[in-house]
Amino acid sequence: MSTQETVRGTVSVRRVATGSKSEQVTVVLTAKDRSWLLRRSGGPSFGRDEELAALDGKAVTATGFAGSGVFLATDVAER
Amino acid sequence: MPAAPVIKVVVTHRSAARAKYGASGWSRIRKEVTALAKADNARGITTRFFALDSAADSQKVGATKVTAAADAVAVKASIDRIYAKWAPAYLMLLGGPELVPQHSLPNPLWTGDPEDDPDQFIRTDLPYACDAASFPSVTAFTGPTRAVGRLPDLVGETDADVLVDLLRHAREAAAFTSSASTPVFALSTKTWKVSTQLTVGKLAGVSGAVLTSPTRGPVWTAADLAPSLHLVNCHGGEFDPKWYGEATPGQVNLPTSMDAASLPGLIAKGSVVAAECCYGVAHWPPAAAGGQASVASTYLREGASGVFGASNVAYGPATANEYADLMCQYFLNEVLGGASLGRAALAARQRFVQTESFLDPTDLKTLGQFDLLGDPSIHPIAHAGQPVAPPTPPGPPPDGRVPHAPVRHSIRRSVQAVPAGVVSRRSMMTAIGKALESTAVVSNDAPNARAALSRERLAELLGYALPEGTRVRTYASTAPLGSERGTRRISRSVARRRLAREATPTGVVAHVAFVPATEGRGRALVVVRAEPGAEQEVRVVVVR
Repeated sequence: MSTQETVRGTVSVRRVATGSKSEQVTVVLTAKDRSWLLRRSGGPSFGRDEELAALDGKAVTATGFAGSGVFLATDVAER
Repeated sequence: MPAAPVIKVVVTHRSAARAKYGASGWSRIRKEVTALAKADNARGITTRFFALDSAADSQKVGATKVTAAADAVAVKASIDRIYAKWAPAYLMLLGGPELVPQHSLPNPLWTGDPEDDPDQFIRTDLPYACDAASFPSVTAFTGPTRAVGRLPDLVGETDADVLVDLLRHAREAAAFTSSASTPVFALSTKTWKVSTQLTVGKLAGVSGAVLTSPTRGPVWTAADLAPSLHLVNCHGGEFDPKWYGEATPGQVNLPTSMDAASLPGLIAKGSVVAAECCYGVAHWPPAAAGGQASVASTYLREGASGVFGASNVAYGPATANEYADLMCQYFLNEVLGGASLGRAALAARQRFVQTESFLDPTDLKTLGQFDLLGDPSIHPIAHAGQPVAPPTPPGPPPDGRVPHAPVRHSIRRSVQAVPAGVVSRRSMMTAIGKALESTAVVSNDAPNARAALSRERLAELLGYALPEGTRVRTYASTAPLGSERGTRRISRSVARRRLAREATPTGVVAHVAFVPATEGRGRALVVVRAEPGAEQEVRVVVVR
């Protein structure tokens, strides 16, 4: 938890209530053992991060902090 | 037998602390622990330091020394021995999870999809507060009996000043004087104002309006934050040093309601916070947020006596009170009544279990996720007529700061010659905990293979259509497991088989569904509680 780790996984993006004021964009990182909500360091906790959303369906290598529910990435690179 | 009753035990893993802070940093922390013990002694508390990794300390209670600092099961075994031998009134875990690990229990709401509930496990100190032996399920810990708090350091940070400061604050802690009307700083998202108002309305003898974000925050003044009690019902995120408001359900790009970076200099010493925010008391490295510690850690560093909050995603309704609302309400009412922080946390947990006819999966997560950060022996509120302790003796290192103290007494803590009334109360709370453990009806921590409620029926109950893909899960409930779990370490699969074998079906079920956001409605967690002979109860709650 205190140090950064590198995880390989796939990014998936889900949009719900599309087009509404309540549109939610959820970005999920699915690795071999588990999955997290994916956030970028410096990115919003609540809100759209289109830079991450652009990785939809891509296999990535993410480096960052693995938390209870969130993987906070300091770097995400397509594989 | 010790010369005086052991009232407070401070535990940590000394080797881990030395490795983290170096010999000189650890020496400063240890001196401050000694200074706290002296201050406690002057106030009538006998405080004992216990190094979990010390063979000598372990021998005193018949425990085995803890070799690996991360071994939560071994730490609990040592703590259980401490209780068996000394029956302390308070247990203070010294340091964050790098020094004293949290337990990691499976989250009953975890579906495998982090979009539902992102926490696969509940990181918690709850097992340390229970007599029940280690067991890999929160269902085993429904009968808390111990007053436990954690004085946390910062994950990944090696500056000993943090823990030294928190220990000094505990040593210098002063109680606010109770008056006819205790002011409270109550902050809510705009969307949950009704729920927060209900909570404040149930707090005994408090005054203060519920402030909402938007439009209030994140700029606050010392006068705004001066009340001794803070109730915050806002959004929070992991690795995020801010809490957030919300104007409309499901809003994106939420407004900041409180920013840890702007709190220094504004927090009244001795104040107490009950936070419903997700991840309100989560331990994460400030390095993940550009060096900024969490809101809770900042409150404590600035002199708050305690923060009671959730370690992960928490739940509550927008216009009623359930789950996180209740835990915070129960905790604050105990504090208002003059309880120590540790007793307030214990009583809140007990009352939470006691007042539910059965614990559904969201109850279980709530019970597991709420922890106390702070010295559990501190009584934040002094009532007229309560004994006032002698002045705090000086201790190292002098910091030169002027105490930020409006109207207060030196803190009242337990007295060494424990009064009969206190002994009786402790016995009663222990009895309540044991009774809850043996009587609470509890949902299983994993759903049945098949749901017993269709999406269509759930839509009927809610009165609106549910999006495609909304999946209902049904959790059976069981009568108590009995006391034969034992202390032997067992694998999770063995534990689950044992759970299934020992369980007594009750006919009580909970149906749980995560409902995606739709136009005009944010994401919601729906819990349908069904008990034989009673009407179904439908709870619609949202992520705090």
